[in-house]
Amino acid sequence: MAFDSKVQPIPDRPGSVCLDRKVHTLNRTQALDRFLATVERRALRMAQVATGNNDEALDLVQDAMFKLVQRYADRDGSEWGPLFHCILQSRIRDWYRRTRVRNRWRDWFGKPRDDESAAEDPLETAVDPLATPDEELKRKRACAALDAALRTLPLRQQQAFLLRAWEELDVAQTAAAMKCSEGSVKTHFFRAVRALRKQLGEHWP
Amino acid sequence: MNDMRFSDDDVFLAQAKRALDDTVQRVDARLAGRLQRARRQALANLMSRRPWKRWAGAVAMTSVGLLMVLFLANRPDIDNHGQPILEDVELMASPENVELSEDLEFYDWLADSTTNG
Repeated sequence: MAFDSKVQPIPDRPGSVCLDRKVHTLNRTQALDRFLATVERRALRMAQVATGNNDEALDLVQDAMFKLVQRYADRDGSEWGPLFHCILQSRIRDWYRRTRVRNRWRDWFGKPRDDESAAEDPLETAVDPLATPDEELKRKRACAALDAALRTLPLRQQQAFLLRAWEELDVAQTAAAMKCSEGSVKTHFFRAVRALRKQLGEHWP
Repeated sequence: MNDMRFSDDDVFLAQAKRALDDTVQRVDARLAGRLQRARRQALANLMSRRPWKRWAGAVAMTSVGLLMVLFLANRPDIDNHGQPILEDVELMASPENVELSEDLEFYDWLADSTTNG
């Protein structure tokens, strides 16, 4: 997805630099659009797993998109993936900290916690028109079980698992996204896999 | 936990990846639409961005900072007043001062000496 970011003027045409800059911005916008279209749903799922709330998840992904476009649009396309995950995971961590503080206050005043009032997950109700009812039910159960197991993991293990196993980032890229050492990534990932396998059992999916 | 051998991890990870990919396909249309709108809004910012705007903020901040420095450096009374303010803060913060403010007899004495003096 990488392309040349330098603007070359067209010879013998006054004002061509301005025109080229517009074309360049348009190309870049289209490239960013393609990139975001490929990652947005997975990003939403990651945020949903972390927050357990669709609106919060959507806000986090939207924030990450804005930040990427605003600050890193001029970077090489190959850098967008790690940068986007770095921003998204940072947003998720901030959300997690804020919610923890808010829940502490709610506990103090005896109000219900944020995660207790979370909306119903649409994944639970969505239907795949191509699958037979048995297959559909089995797949839905497998997805729901994995989702539930992922939500029980500590945030760092959740992040390490999703970035390494799903996004297939390498250890260094995951460490950059999680803002921790490569050793920590390995530890979190190992623990996440052990915990998930233990929870999901031998017969999953 | 004999069934959880490390060699099985690859199989487990592949299955987990498949299940997660599956959940992406099931994101409902309403949520997918909102996601698409969010993306378009983010990209609209890029199209309307002006190159000079990137530097305008930094230039404005630098100018304000420079003006402040010039203004403070050229104030003729800054040297006379800067030091006493610091001394006052020091005096107010000192433990003796707190003790003194709690001593009501001191205020009586101060009032007497002001009236008589």
